[in-house]
Amino acid sequence: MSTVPAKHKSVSYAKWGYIFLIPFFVTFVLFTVIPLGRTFYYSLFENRLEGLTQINQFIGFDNFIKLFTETKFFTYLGNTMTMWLIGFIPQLIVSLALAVWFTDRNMRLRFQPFFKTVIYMPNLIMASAFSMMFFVLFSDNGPVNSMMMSLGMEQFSFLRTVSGSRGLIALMNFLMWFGNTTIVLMAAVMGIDQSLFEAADIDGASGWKTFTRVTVPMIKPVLSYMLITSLIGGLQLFDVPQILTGANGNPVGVNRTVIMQLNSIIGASKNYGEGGALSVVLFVITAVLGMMVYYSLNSNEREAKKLAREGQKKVAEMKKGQGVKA
Amino acid sequence: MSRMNNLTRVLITAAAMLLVGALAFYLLAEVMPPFNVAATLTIDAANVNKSAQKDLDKGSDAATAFKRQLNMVRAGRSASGVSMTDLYVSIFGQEAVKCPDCDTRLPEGTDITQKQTCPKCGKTDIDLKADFQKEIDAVKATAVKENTEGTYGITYAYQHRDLNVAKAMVNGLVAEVEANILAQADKDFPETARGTDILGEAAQQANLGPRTWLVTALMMIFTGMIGYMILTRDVKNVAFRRLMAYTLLIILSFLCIVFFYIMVINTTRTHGDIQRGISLLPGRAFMDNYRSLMSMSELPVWRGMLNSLLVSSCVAILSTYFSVLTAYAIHAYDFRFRKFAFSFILLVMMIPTQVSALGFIEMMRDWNLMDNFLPLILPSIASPAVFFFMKQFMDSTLPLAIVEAARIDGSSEFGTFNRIVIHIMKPAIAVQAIFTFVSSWNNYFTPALLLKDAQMKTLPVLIAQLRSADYTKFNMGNVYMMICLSIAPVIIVYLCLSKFIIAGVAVGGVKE
Repeated sequence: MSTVPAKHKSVSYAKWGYIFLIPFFVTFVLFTVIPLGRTFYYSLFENRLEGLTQINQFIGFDNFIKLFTETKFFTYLGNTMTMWLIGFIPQLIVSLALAVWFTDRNMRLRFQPFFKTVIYMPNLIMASAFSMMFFVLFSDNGPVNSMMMSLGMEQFSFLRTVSGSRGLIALMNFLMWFGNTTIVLMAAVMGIDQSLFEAADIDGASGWKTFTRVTVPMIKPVLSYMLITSLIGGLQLFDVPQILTGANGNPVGVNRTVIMQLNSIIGASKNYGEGGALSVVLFVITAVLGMMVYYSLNSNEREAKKLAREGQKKVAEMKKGQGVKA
Repeated sequence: MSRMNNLTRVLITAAAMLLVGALAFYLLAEVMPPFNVAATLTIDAANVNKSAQKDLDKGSDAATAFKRQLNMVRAGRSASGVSMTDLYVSIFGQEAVKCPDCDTRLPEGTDITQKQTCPKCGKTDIDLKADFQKEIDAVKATAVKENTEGTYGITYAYQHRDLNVAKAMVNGLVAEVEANILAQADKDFPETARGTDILGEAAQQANLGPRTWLVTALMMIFTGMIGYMILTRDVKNVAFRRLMAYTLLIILSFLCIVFFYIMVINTTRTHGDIQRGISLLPGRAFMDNYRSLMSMSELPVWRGMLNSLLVSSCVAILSTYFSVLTAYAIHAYDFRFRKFAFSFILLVMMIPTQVSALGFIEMMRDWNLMDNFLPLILPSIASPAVFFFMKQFMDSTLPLAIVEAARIDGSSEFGTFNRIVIHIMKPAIAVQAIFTFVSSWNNYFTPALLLKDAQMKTLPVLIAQLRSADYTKFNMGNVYMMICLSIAPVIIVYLCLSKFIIAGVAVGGVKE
């Protein structure tokens, strides 16, 4: 069959490529592009009721100016980012440590399947159910407070204090995502050429040195990919604060995220100009971040090769350096 | 760290020990002052007084109302209690026990629970109790409502009053009557039931001083050990690292499991038991909780589960099938826009659904598709993330020679796809079917905006309803039961297929 001229053959089948792409693109245009266009359209108009007539007036970019100056958009964006960050930093540290330990041959950790199963589990839990559970467990009269009081501590109003409520949201985000991150990072670490670790070991590099000089540089592409996707996910933070702290993000709105603002516009206030502007801003932010993911996906291989070369060079240098000292 | 003499090491370790010790002591002794019972009670009493004083200062009207409400709450706690007449008199004064018509005072000691006859104008059936009860109910309702909505003022005083009572009892100032009030209150307001435990705690806490020192000392020793090991480069020691790894893993696993364990246990306990605190042993109310949850018409749980199941299954099937089809189009055929199509799908992979939600919901309203599952199911035909996974899997497992062979055997293009490609892609389809099923099962944002009819709601929307409604009116056993039912299917499937799923995560790496 290899004698068949491939070029001629593939041309005659090209139409099937288009045909098979139809469902995807039709769906995409119908359910994403058109709504997106409609959303953008809304952002340029003022909708209000004057008496009983609906007024739709073109006002250009006034909605954006209003969004930035009259609403608490930046506060909510700040809230969103703060909540993401206080969950993400411990998540990254813990996941890196676990990924390294799980894959370390010298350590030979036992019960790995059990631990992996347990730490990944929260990722599959319905966020709304998980939040509702935390809401009842940590409410002022909930079991956690009862337990604290019976241990001789003072009652702590988790959901009415800034530190308490944000701490809970961060804890939930951490619990829901660190297992996932650990497993992805583990796969990345296992993908590193084992001879690099062996070389480092023979050269007497400490665990920490091996980690900073071999492991981290080698999994850098995965780390940056994770950072950006987690940031995009963080921007979409909605279920947890919405259910844990209510639609207003109590106390006094410190837990209100951008998507919660959008949700209240679509569901309740119907101020489509503002909602449209908010959507466009979110779109621009995620589009920029999405581009970064795209390039990191595309350049993964190239970079990995480059890093492998550099890593080997560094190891060689280390070897040389130690040889001189000895 | 490499060139550090022993003295520096010792000094750094000692400094870290002191710092941690001081921090621990500060946290235990100052931030969590209950280790000193007298201080706690005084602080709480002072807080209540302060908050009450603030409200009182706000103005005479508000102050009077507040004072009265406070009294009424107190009365409310002993509603239907032993000495209603005493309470009535203590709140309204003896002069309030009078005939509503001619204002004649009834004799002292008149039982207000009985209907009275006025000695002067002869009016019969004077029902002071009914009026009293009405006011009590009103205050109860206010108290419960304020409690839920998180306002301060009366709620604050209401919750902390127990501590005042307890304080008074510690000092031996309050008589049996108040014990009765508390006992009755526990029945009427289970959420404050633990107030009565405060005396027992007080006795316990009297001996807590040494605990602060013990914990502080342990923390210091622990820091010292870690500091010593790090500074003497014992970190290289595998045994030490293993110890750290196991410690961390056990703590994390505990955190991952404990909340679910409490939840499952709480489904078997009664409302009152749950309010009293955490238990490690199951109760006997599982069937009762289940039955009462089923009897709630505003929460059609099984209907919600069926809806969720329907939507999620369709999403899993459509998204995997069409993603394989899309991936196959780009993988197997050479056409002009092939590269462009691939780049385009990768680029749009990260656009969140929320961004287009506004236009999407409006469009569905125009098309009359609100309260319909189609807008939840159909968009999943275009799932860029699933596509990307399929494409990667295809690159490594689907040789084009197979496709060519099928062509030679006379198979049509679509036939080849359905019979051969789908078959080869089965492992990838299974992994992605699970993930898309789960994410659709858990999806809250779009369904919450689309589904308004109770019979059409999916589980996450029903759960959110528990929160938004006046949640104190729910039996806690029901709430836990509902949460448990909605996550149980996913957990069970996960526990059966965990190895497979975790391998899928490791391979994919890409998940929302």
